[in-house]
Amino acid sequence: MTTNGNPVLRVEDLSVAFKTKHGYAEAVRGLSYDVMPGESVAIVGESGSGKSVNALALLGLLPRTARITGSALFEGEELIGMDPDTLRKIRGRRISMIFQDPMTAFNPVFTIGNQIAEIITIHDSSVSDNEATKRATDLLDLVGIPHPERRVHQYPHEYSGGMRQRAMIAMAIANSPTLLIADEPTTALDVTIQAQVMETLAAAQEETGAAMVLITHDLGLVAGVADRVQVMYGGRIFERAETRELFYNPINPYTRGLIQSIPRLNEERGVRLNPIPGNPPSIIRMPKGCAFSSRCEFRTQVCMDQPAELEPVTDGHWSRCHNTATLPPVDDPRLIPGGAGR
Amino acid sequence: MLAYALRRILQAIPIILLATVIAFFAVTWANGDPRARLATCTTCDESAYDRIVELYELDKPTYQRYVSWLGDVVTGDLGISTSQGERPVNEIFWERFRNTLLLALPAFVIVAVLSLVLSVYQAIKQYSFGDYALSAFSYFGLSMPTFFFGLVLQAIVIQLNNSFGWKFFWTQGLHDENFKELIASITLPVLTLVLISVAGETRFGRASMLEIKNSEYIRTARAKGLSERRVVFRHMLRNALIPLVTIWALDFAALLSGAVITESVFSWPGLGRMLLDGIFATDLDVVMAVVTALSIMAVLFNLFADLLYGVLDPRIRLD
Repeated sequence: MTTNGNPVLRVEDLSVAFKTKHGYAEAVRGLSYDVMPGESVAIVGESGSGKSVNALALLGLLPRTARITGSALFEGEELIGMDPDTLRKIRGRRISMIFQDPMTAFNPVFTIGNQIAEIITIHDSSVSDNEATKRATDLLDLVGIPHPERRVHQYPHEYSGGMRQRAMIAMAIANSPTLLIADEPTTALDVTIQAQVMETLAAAQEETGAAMVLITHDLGLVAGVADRVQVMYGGRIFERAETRELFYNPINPYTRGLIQSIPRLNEERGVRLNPIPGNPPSIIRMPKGCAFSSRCEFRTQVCMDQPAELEPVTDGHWSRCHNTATLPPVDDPRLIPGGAGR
Repeated sequence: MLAYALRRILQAIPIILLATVIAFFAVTWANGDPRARLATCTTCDESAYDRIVELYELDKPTYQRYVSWLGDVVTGDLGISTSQGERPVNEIFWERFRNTLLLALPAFVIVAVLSLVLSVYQAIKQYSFGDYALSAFSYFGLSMPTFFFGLVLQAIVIQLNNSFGWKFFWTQGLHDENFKELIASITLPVLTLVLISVAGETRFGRASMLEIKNSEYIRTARAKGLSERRVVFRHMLRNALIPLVTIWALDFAALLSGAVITESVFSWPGLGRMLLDGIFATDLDVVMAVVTALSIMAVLFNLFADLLYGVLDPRIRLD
């Protein structure tokens, strides 16, 4: 995807900090990225890397104790610091969010149809309840729920996990938003269901022409869906590239570690998994140098002393590393995932 | 749901029977011989003695007396009160029940409304000044013994009445000559009942509202673009009602069966006082009438709570 036209979402220097007993904990630190119309951008990272907080910050869903600075332009409108009522009208209509755990993301006491109809009528009071329920039925059909005219009147507990996540996708696209934010949409699901739900998500995105921000810790998931990938670590982007480029030619030592640690089906038996040693840094006590330095096998003195900048390496491929020029080339065949997907 | 209710009622019959058996034997054995009452009576002669033996069928064993009591109750005869001039217990019971209702109904309505409003307010304004103030009030209510709070209320009102010549509230007894007097006499006992119940229920309601407030589906509701009002009153409240309804039903059953302590402090002629007086006077039929009513109400309102549960929470299927 090339960068012509105006981005749907332009995040610039976004920082989010939470007040704690030990001062502010910076969960997101100077994050910048663009999402073009219809494009899928994946944000990949471990727990605590700031990927979800970034999404919640855009929608104003963080608690009031969060300190949010920077800018996020959505279709030219500034979301950060926007009047809550105006932002509320954008939520669920022009930006929709899909949450991680479909088991708990629906209100247990209302029917699925009722909850999908609600997102329609709340943003367009001219739609009657009957019409909204009719549209909810069509949406359930669209995401592949069998017998939608019966299922629409059922409660969340009567749906399986995978079906609930489909219903969640149906709800998210109900108002044809221009931006979908999917926060770990398959993490809570069975592996066999994951692929189906991702297909549904891709189909739903195609149907509405929405751009998508896919937040996940699962690189394997990203390969099949995203146009571009940004790898986050310690609240910052460490590497950004088109998906294929990132998998075939990972530059940043952290991304290399991530790709190496993916288990493969065609691996010889008895070969040990290859994890990244150590733990992510605490956001309360960030190291003064590069956030990854303590776990990095290529670290030098400069990594311990000062943070690295995100710099372009080749066209459209950015990496945050002091030692980009001296890193060994990617010749390890383990780094080449078979077909970049699974 | 009808079949479920019927089955539950049938299941309740042995429970109620067991309660009456326990009560009957406990009262018979614990209170000793009703004839002992005559020991201090100087005007009583042999016929009074025989009358007591006849009334209580004291010449028969306890289990036979229970069976004959049960037979009477099933046909709608609660027996007679030996301590109130052989007045039928049926008459006394309904009169006392009405008086208890005069306290229980207003107290229940106030408790339900107040506990709901306060727990929603406290959960939404968590850690605000109002939240802390109401929590302090709740702990005050929880730690205040009923009889003591009742006495304090009486003392304050008597002081006011004496100092200013006011006659706003009655501190003793039921006065139902007219509506104004009625209100004047129920105010203090109702206030006592409300303080005790509302404190506990608000703590409970606040905790369950907080859990709901931080749940995923409330975040979903916000992400859908619902107004804060709609999030609270549609998505939170319906869920918060589920646990509260159970407490309300049980609380109402307890209020209906007479608040023994409150009724004693305020000399209120309700079921609670009836039970207490019956025990002191070894008036077996009176005690049994109240105990039976109490167990029936406990069972019925438990069932009512379960039925409401099924209505409010679709995950619960009653069959």
